[in-house]
Amino acid sequence: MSVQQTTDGQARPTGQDPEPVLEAVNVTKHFPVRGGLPRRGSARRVVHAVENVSLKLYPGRITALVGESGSGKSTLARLLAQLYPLTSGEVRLHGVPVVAPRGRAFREHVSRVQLILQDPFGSFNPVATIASTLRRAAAIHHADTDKAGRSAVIDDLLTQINLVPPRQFTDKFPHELSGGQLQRISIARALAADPEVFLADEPVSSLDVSIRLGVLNLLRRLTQERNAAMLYVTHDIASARYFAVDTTVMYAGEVVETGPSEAVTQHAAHPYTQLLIASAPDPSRGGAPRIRDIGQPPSLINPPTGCRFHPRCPFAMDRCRADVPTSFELSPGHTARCWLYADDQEARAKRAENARTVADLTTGRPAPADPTDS
Amino acid sequence: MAIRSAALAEAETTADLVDGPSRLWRRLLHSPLTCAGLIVTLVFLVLAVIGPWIAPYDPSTVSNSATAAPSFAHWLGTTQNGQDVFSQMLYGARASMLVGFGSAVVTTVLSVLVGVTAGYLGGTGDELLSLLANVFLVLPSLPLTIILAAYLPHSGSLGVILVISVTGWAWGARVLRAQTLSLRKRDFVEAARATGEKTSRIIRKDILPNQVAVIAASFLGTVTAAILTQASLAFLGLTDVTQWSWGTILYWAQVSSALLTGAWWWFIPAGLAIALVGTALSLVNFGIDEFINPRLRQAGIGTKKAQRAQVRRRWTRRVKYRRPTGARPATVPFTVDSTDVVLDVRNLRVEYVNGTARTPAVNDVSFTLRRGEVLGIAGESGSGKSTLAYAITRLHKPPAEISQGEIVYTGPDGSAVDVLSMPDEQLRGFRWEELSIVFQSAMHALNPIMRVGEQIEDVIRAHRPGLSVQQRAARIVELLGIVGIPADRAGSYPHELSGGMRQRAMIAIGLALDPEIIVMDEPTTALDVVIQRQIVEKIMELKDKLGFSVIFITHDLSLLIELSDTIAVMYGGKIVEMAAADDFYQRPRHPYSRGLLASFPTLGGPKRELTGIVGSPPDLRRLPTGCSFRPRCPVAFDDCSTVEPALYQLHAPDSGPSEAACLLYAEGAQQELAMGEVK
Repeated sequence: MSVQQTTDGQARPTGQDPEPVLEAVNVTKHFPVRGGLPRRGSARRVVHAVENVSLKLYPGRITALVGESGSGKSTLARLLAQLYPLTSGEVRLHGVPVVAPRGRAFREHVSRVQLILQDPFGSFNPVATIASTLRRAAAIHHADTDKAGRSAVIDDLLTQINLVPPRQFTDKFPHELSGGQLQRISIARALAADPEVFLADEPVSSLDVSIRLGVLNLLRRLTQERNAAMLYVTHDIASARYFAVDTTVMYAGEVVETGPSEAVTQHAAHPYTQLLIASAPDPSRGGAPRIRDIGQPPSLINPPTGCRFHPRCPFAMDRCRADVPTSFELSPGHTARCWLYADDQEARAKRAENARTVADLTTGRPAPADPTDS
Repeated sequence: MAIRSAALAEAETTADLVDGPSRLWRRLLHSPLTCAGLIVTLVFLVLAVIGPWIAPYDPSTVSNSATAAPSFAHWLGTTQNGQDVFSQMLYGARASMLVGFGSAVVTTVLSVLVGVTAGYLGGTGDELLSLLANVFLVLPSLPLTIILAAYLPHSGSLGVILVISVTGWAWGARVLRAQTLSLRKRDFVEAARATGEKTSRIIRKDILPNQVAVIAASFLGTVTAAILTQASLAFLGLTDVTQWSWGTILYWAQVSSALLTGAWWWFIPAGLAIALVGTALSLVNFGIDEFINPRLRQAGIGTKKAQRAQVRRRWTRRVKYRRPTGARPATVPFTVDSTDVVLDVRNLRVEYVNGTARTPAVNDVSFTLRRGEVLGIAGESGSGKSTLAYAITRLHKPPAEISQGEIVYTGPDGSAVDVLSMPDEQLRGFRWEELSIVFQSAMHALNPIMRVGEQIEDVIRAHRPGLSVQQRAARIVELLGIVGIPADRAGSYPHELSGGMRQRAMIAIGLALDPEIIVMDEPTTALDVVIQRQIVEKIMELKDKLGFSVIFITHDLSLLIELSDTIAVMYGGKIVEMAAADDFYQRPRHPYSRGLLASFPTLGGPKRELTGIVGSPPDLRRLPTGCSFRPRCPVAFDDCSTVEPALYQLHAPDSGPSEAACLLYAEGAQQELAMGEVK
C-alpha cells in the first residue's frame, strides 16, 4: 500500500465543471408496504425511501453520500445502478435519460455503471471459487474473448487490485480469504466491466481499520487512472472529508446539505450535519461539549411534514413544520436545505443562535461562515 | 454469535488448500457412515438393474418345495406355492427402486421448477404458483393415494410413481420457494445482477448450487418415502399384486399367514431390505451437507475431542463464592492512581483446539481492572479481543479452551475468588451478579419471541427468587428508566424496538442485578453514530451514578480514547500496549498503535496525513516469529524477527506509566529516541 498524500485530487477548478457522467434528477423512490389490508379510500401505504434527490457525478472525481442507516443513501446508489425502477425523476447517463429495468438495455447500463457492495463476505457465492465468480463477470463484459483470454483478463484484474500472484487467489473459496482481500476482489469484479462510474456502497465499513485506507486508496487510484466517476456511500463523514471531493448529506430520504467536503465538514450548515459531526468519535476534540440529542430518525411511512428533521431540530421554527425547505447556496457549490438560511427576521435570529451553539461545541474552530449575513 | 464464528473462521481457514475432487474423496473416506450409506444404496441400485438376469428362478414359477426353509437350492427359502423368495426379492428390488428413485426424480423436478420460479419471480407469478402448491398441500394425500392407486391398478410402477409425485411435490416446492426468496435478497445475488448477469444464469449459478443440500435432502427423503408408500400400497393389495415388489412379497406372505406358520424367511428379507435402504439413504443424507458446503468441509470444528478436552475441569483452588449481602459501598470516582483492583487477569492463554493443533487466540494476557475504571480493549479482527471477553466471563465454547492463567475477582468486601476454578453452580451466580455482558448484536442476543420486560424479569427471577411479582415489576420499570426506555415499552418485542433501544434493553439486562463489572463487546458497532453517541453517553452516565467498572471492547480506537480511562491494544493475541487513554492519544508507543491512530480520518482541526498500516492482520495459526507485527512494521530491525518482545515498562517524564511490547523500548530511552527520529 502506498502512503499517499491524502490531499490528492482535492484541488479542482471550480466554476468550469465538466459535464456530469451520471446524474440523478429529482429522483423519488417509494416502496410499497406489504401486508395489511388495503383500506378503502386511502392510498396504498408506501415507504418514502428517497424523495426528490438530485446528484451529479463527474469523471475522475469522488462524491461522498453520507447518512445514517435508513437515510436512503444505499437506495439512491441502487437507483443509479437501475436495480430498482424509479417512482419519479430521471437518471441520466451523459445527459441521456436511462430507463433500463431489464434485458439488453439493463446490461448495457451496468457495463458502464458498476455497483460495489458493502459486505465482502456476503457478496460472493459461497459455493463458487473466486475464479468462477470472476470468470462470469469476464464472460459478460469480454464476451468476444476465448477461455484463455478470460484467464488473462482475470489475472490482469487481480494484478490491478494488488493481489499478486493472482494464481494464489483464484482457486480459493470466499471463506478462505480475508475481508480486505474479498473487497478487493469485488472491486476487481466491477473493474471487469471497465465502467465509467463506480457506485461504492459502504466499501470499507465492514473492514478492519488498518486495511480500510488501503482499499480507499485503491479506489481513489482507479478513479483517477481511468478518469471514472465514483459515488462513495458511507456513514462515516470523517472519511468523506479525506476521501471525497464533494459531500452530500442525506437524512430520511432527502438531501439536506451538499458541497465541497471541506466546507461541509468544517462549516456544516444544516443542524443535522452539525449533529452528525458532533456525534462522530473524535479524540482531537478533547472534552468539548456535544449536542444533546435523544431523537431518532422518523418513520418513512408517515414522514414528518415540512422539513423531515424538524422534530429533532433544536432550531426548528413554525415554518419548518409546514413547508419543505428549499435549497440555499451558502458559498459556491455549498448548499443547505434549511429554513435557517432564509432571509427573514426569525431565521436570522435562529441562525445567530445556531452559530453560537456550534461555536461552543468546537474548540478552536471558527463558527460556520454566513455569507448571507453581511 | 457473530463474533465467535468470525473468530473461528479466522482460526480455521485454509488448513488444506488442495482443493478439487481428490480432497472430496479423502473427506468421504474419513466419514465411514456416509460411505456405508452410499455403498449400501449403490448395491441395491445395482441389484435393481441386474436383478432379473442373475435371479436363479422365475419368481412366479411354482415348484414342489412349498414353504421350504432357506437351503442351498433356495437361498431364502420358498413361498407357499414353492416360488423362490430370493428371485422375488431380486425382481422386487427393481420395482421398489424404480418407484423410489422415479418418484423422487419427478417430485424433485416439479418442486424445483415451481419453487425456484415462484421464489425468484415474485409478484403475481409467485402468488399463482404458491396457490397451486397450497392446493396440492391440503389434498388429503393418503386417501388420494389409495383412490388413485385403486383406479390405476394395472399401470404398474408408473401409476405409483404418478400418485406419489402428484401428492408429494408441493411440500418441496414450498421449502425451495422460501429458500429462493431468502437467497434472492443475499448480496451475492444482487452483486451478480449488478454485474449484468442474466436471470437464467443467476438461477443456475447462484441460486441452485446454494440449495443443493436442501434439494438433495428432499430427493433422498422422497426416495425413502416412495419406497415405503409403494410397499404399503402393495401390502394392502392396492397395486397389481402379480407384479413383484418388496411390498407384494409382504402382501402374499400376509395373505398366506406366513407369520402364523413360522415361515420367517418369507417376510423378513423384504422387511429388512426396506429398512436397510431407508437407513442407507438417511446416512447419505446426513453426510451430504458437509460435501456440498465448502465451509463445512474443513474437518474438526467443534469435534468431540475438543469438547472432551473442554470438559476436563480445573479444581485447582477452590475458593467459595458467596453471594454478596447488603448494599454495595458508596461509589468512589475512579482516579488514575487507584489500587482498588476488582478484576486481576494473569497470564491468560486461550487456545482453539483442532485435533492436535492448538492455536492460541489469547496469548499470555495480563491486566488489572480497578473499581470504577473503564478499560478499553482495542484490536482488529483476529486480535483475540472477543475471545478474551468470552474467556473472562467463561462463556467461551469448544474448541476454545483456557489452558493457562488465572482470573481473580475481588468483591467489594475484599474477598477474592478465582473465576476459572469456580464450579458451574457458583459461576452462574457470579455471572450477572458480579459480572455481566453486553453483546454486540442486540437483535441476536435478545430472544425475539419474548417481550423485553419479560427478558429482564427472567434474569431477576433466576437470581433473586425471593422477590415478589410487584417488586420485580418495580425493578423492571426502574431499570428501563435508568437506560432511558419509556416504561410502556416493556411490553414490546425486540423487533418492535429500534436498534438503539434494543441495545439499551441489553444494557438494562446487564444492569439488572447491579453488577460490579460489565463487559461490553462492541456494543455500539452496529449502530449509527448519533445513536452510538446516545448509548455511550448513557453508559458513562450510569457508570458515574452506579459505580461499576467497564471492559469496553471495540475496533474503534477514536471512540475508545474518548471514553476509556485506560487503553489496551491487542495484536495477534497479545496486549502490545497499555497506557492511560490521554497518554496513549498524545504519545502512542507501539508502532502498531501509531499506525492505527494514523488510520483514522479526523473531523476537527486541519487535515493530517493518513498513513495506515501496510499488509493485513496476521493469521493466528501462522504468527510470524519474533514480534508478530514485524511484517507490517515500518521501523522493524533485525532483532524483531528473532526476539519476542515482552511488555516493557515505560516511564516518560511527560506522561504516566505505560507498557509497550516493542523491542524499541527494550533498552530504554536511547532506542526510543531513535524511534522519535524515525517518526
